[in-house]
Amino acid sequence: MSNTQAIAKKHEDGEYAHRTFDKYAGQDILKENPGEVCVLSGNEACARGAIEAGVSVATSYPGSPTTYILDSISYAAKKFGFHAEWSTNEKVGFEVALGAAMVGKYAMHITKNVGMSWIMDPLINQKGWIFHGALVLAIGDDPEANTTSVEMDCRQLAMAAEIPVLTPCTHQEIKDFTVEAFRMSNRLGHPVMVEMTRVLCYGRGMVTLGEIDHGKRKIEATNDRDPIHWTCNVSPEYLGENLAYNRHKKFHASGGLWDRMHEESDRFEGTELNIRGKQLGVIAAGVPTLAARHALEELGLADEVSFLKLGMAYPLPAEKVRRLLESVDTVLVAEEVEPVIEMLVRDISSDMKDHARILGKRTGHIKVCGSIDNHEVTQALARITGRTDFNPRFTPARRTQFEQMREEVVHRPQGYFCPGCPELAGIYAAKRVARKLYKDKWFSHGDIGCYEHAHSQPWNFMQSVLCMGAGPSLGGGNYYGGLDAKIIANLGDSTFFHAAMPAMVNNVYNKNDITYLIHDNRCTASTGHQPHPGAFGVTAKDEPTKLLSIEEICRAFQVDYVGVCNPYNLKEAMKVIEEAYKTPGVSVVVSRATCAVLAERQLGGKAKAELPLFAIDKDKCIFYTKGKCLACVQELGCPSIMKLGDKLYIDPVTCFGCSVCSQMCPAKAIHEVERSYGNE
Amino acid sequence: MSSHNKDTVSIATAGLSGQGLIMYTKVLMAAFKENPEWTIRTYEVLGTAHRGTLIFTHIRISKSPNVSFLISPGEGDIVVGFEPLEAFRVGAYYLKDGGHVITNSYSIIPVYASVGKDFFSDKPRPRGYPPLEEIYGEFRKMDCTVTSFNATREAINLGHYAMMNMIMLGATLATGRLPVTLEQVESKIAELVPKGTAEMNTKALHRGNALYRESTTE
Repeated sequence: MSNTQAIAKKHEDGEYAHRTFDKYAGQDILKENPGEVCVLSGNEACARGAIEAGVSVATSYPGSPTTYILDSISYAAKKFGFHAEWSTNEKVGFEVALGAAMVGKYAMHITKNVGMSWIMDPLINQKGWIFHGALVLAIGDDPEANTTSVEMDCRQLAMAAEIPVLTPCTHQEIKDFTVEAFRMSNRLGHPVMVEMTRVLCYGRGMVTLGEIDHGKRKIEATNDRDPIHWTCNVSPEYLGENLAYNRHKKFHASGGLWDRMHEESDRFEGTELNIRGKQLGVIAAGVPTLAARHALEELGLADEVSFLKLGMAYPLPAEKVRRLLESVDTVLVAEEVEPVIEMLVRDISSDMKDHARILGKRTGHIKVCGSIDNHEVTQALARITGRTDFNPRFTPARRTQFEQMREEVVHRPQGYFCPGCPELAGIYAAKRVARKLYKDKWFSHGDIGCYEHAHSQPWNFMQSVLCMGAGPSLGGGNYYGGLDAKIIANLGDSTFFHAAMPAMVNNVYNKNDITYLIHDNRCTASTGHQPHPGAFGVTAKDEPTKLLSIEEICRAFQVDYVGVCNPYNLKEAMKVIEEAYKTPGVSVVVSRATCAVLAERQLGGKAKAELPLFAIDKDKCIFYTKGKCLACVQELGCPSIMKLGDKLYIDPVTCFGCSVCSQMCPAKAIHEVERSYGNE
Repeated sequence: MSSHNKDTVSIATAGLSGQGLIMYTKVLMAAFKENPEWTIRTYEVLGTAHRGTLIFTHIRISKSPNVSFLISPGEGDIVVGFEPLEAFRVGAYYLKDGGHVITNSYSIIPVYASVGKDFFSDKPRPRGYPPLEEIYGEFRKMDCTVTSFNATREAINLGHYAMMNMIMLGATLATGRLPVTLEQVESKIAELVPKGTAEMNTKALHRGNALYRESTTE
């Protein structure tokens, strides 16, 4: 057995697949030392807030930018003895947390923005349940859509569910507001959302620790079996007891949850109103708060401009907003993404006789999309006040230079396959077979995960990427729509458990013709190697549990073909994929090898020493001898193979030694060499 | 006009995921725990588990507690490049005229340069990796000074290519623009870096500090 095959065998056996449990958990969040100042990321600060408040059950599904909140909490859960879990999806996770709040515990569900869409069903349906414990939703919004598939605004969804939204603007506030969110939720018996954004989650700041309330974890579970509390029978209202309708009516009745939410907002400590000058006022929440304060200091207006800093974006503190609207001539609303606060401010102003002119996104003073930095607010303030002494530092000349650079200089993607990625090998094999069998008559769907990068060059192997688990169902629609092409759905292992199982059953039941390519890298790789039901055989707290087999599940779903292959072994993988493509009905290929980065982490500092290194033999390489070919970059697309002018080489620092290039090279010009560094 | 001009230092770092940008920020931030008169805020675009993709961080150090997280375009004082092309990409947007660039000169060629095509288009679009002189020339057009050296090679000489981030941190401190001393930063290394690498990392920090002085700044 060659070294390469030995490595492939190790991957297949899962020898590199052990979880690095404490990789993302900082020790600071466990400290029982109130008053100590620590450097915490936003994710850690939120986790610390939950730990201090006495959370007993925390659930999440990995998703940037909030992944590391549960990574941190699960570490504390193991130490302090409470429950934390990676749920199979957000809906499941939210329901687990809600169930814990029903029986009186402090519970938390953490999700990224698009995960919020998944929990809308249970979240809206529980409106008006008055639970005994507390339930906090920690949400990571993503203005500018840097790490998410869409730029959305979760405050709008919170409004649909009628739950309060806390909007911290510093890392200290993230910690403090999370603690307060639990208390508020317990007072109301209603979920409370803490809305963070990517900048806060991935940013770092100083946080003064508070005391950890271990007592809350010792609360006895209450056995409240009254179905009136937790069910909803429906009927026309005039015929009798309609729980769903009555619950909503009670919600909005005088002294009901609607009123109490507004009272909470009126007295919320994180909201500050400072009336200074009479001309101009600023309303801001979240990240734009500091941007606005920074901008005011920049313009030397900090002492002249009135400021309403909102700690709660929904509901608004109506009295304070009214006072500001009465006190000044003009108000600028600074917020990110949709003009939610601006609309609510306009709503409050609608029954006022005289009030300030309201400026913001609707009037074009603040941009609708993207992150808000200090320059954005400075520009708006300069425009409103007619200041001409403010010169943007990014001059028109600089902008031209920048635009030119963007046009002329080669891009580097923000998401891409890593060197040695087993999914890249699987994609290469799948595309090669598809082209061999069907030429251009194939249509391949992507999904959310590392493998989604195959939609771009040089592979173009994914014609669609929508949302978790959408590929198989879109494929079903393509098939019944009469698409004359081989339909392929790419999935990840974690995605399979998250969303694809109902879709697979649907495809089998409704007699689709489709091939599933399940790229199983034995972890939830793109968010940082979190475990899932088919990986590691451990829970979030690193406790041993059952390891579910994807292929056994597929067999139980009665699909027509199930094949398992190791993508590092190209020949074998292509054979299995070909069989799957050729089988009519629903066929499945599980392409399995441990994520290369995880394997490297497992091996620690010795990683590269143990792995082989490959190099191009210039005497055999067709590019060097005949000046063409380049199959290794244009078809395989491994990022370690680099072409600089007339040089083609494998970068020794990043090469993972997966051997796939040596297997696919038409001239067999790539060989194992002794490991050394340097590219000159 | 503004107190922010002299009392705020804005640093943007740029590089590839896996090069240690996050550890750079963590170590630098920890050193400010004993400097409460300065507020430090960072924003990090991280690659989570990925390797070799574009990432950058914003670091703001200010006397004002209201300093915002994000550096506005054209506002950065220093750009620290872990890879020269990424230094240029981030520098062209964030660096102010007359700012300062410190960059590693070890190039990592983006896959689109090798492939000769763009994200989606099937049409060939040959845009190779620009020569370093061209990149530095663009910076000079912005009246910026450039300090560059092969930090990856230095790191390998010290024992591991991953030590490159501490070399870059040492070089950043050598500019004298940061209100923190080399010793303050050095004292935080041991508690933050992986076990058994503190000594190597400390050496790298000092090597970077010396490299900055040895390299010609133009």
